[in-house]
Amino acid sequence: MKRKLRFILAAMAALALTFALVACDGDNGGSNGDTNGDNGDTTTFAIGFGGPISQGAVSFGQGALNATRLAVDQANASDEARDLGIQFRVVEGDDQSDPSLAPQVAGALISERDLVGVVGHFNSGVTDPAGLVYNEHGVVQISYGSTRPDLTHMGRENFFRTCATDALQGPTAADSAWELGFRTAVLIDDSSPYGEGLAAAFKEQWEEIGGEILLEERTAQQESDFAPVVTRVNAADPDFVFFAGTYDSSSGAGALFARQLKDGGVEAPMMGGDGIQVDGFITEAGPQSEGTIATKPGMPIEDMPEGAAFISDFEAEFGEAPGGFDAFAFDAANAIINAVFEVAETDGVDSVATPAGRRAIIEVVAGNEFPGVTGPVSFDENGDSANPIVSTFLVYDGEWIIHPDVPTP
Amino acid sequence: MEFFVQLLIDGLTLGGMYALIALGFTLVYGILLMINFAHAEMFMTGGFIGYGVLNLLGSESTIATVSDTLPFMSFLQSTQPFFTTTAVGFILMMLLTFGISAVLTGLLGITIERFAYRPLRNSPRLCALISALGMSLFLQNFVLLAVGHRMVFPTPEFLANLDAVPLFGAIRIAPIDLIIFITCLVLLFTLDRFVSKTKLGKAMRATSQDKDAAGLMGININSVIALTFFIGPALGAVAGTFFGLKYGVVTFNMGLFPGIKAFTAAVLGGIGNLRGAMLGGFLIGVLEALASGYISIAYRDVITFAILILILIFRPGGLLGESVVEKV
Amino acid sequence: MNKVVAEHQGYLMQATNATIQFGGLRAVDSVNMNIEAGTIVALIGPNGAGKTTFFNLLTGIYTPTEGEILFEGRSVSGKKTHVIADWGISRTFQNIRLFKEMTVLENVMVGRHVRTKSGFFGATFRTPSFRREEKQIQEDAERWLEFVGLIEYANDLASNLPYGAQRRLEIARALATEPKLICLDEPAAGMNESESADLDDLILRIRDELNITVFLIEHDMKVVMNLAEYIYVLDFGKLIAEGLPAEIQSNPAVIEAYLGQDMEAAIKAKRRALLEARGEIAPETTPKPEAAAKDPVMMDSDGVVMVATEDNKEKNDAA
Repeated sequence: MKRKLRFILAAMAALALTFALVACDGDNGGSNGDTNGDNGDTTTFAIGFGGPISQGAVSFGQGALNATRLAVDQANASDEARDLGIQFRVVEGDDQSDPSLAPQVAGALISERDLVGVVGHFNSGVTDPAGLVYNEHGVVQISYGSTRPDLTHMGRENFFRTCATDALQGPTAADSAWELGFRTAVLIDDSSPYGEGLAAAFKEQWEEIGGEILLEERTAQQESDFAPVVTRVNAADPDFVFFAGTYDSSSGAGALFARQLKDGGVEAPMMGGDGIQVDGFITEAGPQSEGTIATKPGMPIEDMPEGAAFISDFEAEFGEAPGGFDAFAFDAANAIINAVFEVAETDGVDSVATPAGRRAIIEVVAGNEFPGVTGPVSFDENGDSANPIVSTFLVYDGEWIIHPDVPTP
Repeated sequence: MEFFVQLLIDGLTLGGMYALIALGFTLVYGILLMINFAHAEMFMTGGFIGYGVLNLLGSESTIATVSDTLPFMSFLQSTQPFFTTTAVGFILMMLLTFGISAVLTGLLGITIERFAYRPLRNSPRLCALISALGMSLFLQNFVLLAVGHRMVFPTPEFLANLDAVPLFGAIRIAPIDLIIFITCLVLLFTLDRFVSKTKLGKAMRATSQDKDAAGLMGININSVIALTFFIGPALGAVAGTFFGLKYGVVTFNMGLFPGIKAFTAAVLGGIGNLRGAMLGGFLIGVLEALASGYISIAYRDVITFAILILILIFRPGGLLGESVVEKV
Repeated sequence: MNKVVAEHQGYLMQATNATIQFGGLRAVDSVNMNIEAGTIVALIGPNGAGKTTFFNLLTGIYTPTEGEILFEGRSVSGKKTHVIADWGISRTFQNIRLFKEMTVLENVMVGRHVRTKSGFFGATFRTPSFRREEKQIQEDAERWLEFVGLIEYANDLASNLPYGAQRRLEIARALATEPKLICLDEPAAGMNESESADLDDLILRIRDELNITVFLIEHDMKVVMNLAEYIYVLDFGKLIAEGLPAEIQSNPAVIEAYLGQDMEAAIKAKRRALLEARGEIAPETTPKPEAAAKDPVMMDSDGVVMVATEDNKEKNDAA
């Protein structure tokens, strides 16, 4: 019996080793960007980051967290910070894409006494309830990736976003598809607030310009098997399939769907929104992702004036290229940092983390304009980006490129 | 007609995987009258082990990483092209992947039984149930922390280059679906023969019907239970590895939905009844496919479970179970 | 070990001071008993006397709280049932416990389990030796069915057999383990005259043709007197008499135990105490209707069946 047990334990150990080795291969690790600037007479302020870090749409969370850290590190090294005696630190709020965790995560961030603003969250369904908490405490919140249109129409003067909304993305997607010569569509959403919003916006414009919808379907976010839907798509034989959802199977199933469409013999390309325009989508869907089209708010960052520097700094610090909404998070963090500098300059460093100072930060963010990585950063009266550009991308040779046949505005 | 047949094929492939998982639920229930909630995690763990083995045999980067740490593993570098490109290599690699995944997961099953369930065998049944739930959470979080929350499952080059098999008309089967379906049938048939015909199979049945009497006939009850906890997880691991191959990804929480469906399949077929679990698995797969094909995938669970409830109202013991639920 | 074997030479089974206590109740109380190889020995006593409990001690379902039971010089205490089966003790049950959802032949084949060797490996890869053995198991099982006269039922479900045939099937299953000692728990219960006579014949053949020692619990005194060469009498867990059949028939203590005026009340009280002690019924409630409805005093199997049934339930629940 003893011997048997020992054998089983040995087998378990071997198993654990296999796991660990395989894990090493796939794990990129993140570096710790927290900076502690407490030396003498500097004052430290916390910038909260809210997004999916450990679970959920992590590919939209981890990179954005790194981008926030990069912005903070750069600010800490800046002349302004030195002159004013200010240092920033990042406080992580891991919402796991789970709306039910939102109040907790937001509460934890709020409990930081030196909190001056929050970058986040990502999922619209999380941004909304978390925003209630920030609003109540008068802390500025700048979402880097929540594209659901109504978020800026809830009367929260402290809420802004650096990304464009689905209200813009949906119609652009419809226009781009028309431009590409598509006339018939199958429309599928993933039942998420994001997916439903994008699908509705797409549908309105698509029918407006004369496009036809052959089939409308709705899947669950946790779905993994789409075979019957693929069979229906095959029967409908559309020009393209519009998938309004995210790629990540823990919060959407875009990659699985793209893969199964191709495996099931569907020739028509899949098209989606910014939810699938990430490198993870291509990795996960594999060669079957080739030819997938996606729209995304903003211009490709490498084409922007500040973009090249951002990409190289990001790569230098974290060892990988920025993706997803990382640039929007970077701009969001900078919007807060700039406002803090300005308030500190006019009202004094001590007032920044007070209720009055936080109110002043919101006002500055609302009125400010600066050149960001994603273009000029400023907000309209609702808090939406005043610079909403949506570009169309294509998976070509295993990479997202600007779609050559759709003119970028 | 073609539409219907295609849906049927979709459903049978999915159903085969449900059936493999359902057998684990039903085997354990048959012998211990316990719902092994950690069984869905056997499916998940099997998928992750399959992921590891397949990478170890077929992924150049993984082999390079592993060889750096364990130099004696570097022989894998020379076998990698053989495994990934040739037909014989591919079949061999699949057999190794599934074999190792099944055996390791089976051993994990035995270990769990030994340490998490056996000490509680004479406690109220609720204790074992809680222990199983705890085991399930433990495994999920262990995999999450040790490996990651989702891993892209490699597609062997050889498999990727295979074309879909045309049946008739526009109907076609993806090669992986064909492999899944045939493997499921072979495994189900083998298990059925094993349980009904062999000495050990009879020992399992005898144990499930009367543990005391079986023990007095010279059957080592603990061995039979261990065997049960090997076979169930091993089959679950096969399903988990298929999941990875078919969908291209394994996630730490992938056991949840297939686990629920498979458990339902086991209940539908009559829990404790092996053929019932197989029938239940295929039935749920087909029901789901037809519901999502003819109505909407959004309503498929509603429709599927509504039909299940109807069936269970008229046959409370499940399709092949006894009409009176006993031993409760 | 060798010393022990030497001391007990000649006895197949020897119980010394064997006792089991459930709460405050000593269901088997300081029993000393010797069984010689090749004999037919009967264990009798009123219901609730502890006869089946003694079988449970002997076959490893219970472990004695005091004393010891040796089988061929080895102590059965704490041994798993399958180990004891391997040593060569087999048994039948008072309330028939066949594998109901298996065929008659399969039931007997299960009994062969302990005498065959192939394991999981052989079964998985269907090695030639495995196949040979499977065939051998089936042939052996058919031989035992012929021995008890059930071969024509081989492919029927066990639960579909007539009652008397089920009892014989249990015996065939027990014989299939090739025991040295077979313990029969009320084999004649519920049988009619002619079935009972056939059974006498079968038990004699087991001893004479197979040279297996028979240990028998039986209420049917005709069967006991016909077959038993030596008799032990239990009452309230204690051995009250032992001897040759003729001696037992005229033993006043035995007659008292069976015919005592207060027997009915005593047995009822005793059964309650037993069940309460084991936590299977709440104290001071009316007995279960089916138990109360039957008359527990006479030599039917009521009292002990009751215990045994509860016992099964408990086992199932525990699992």
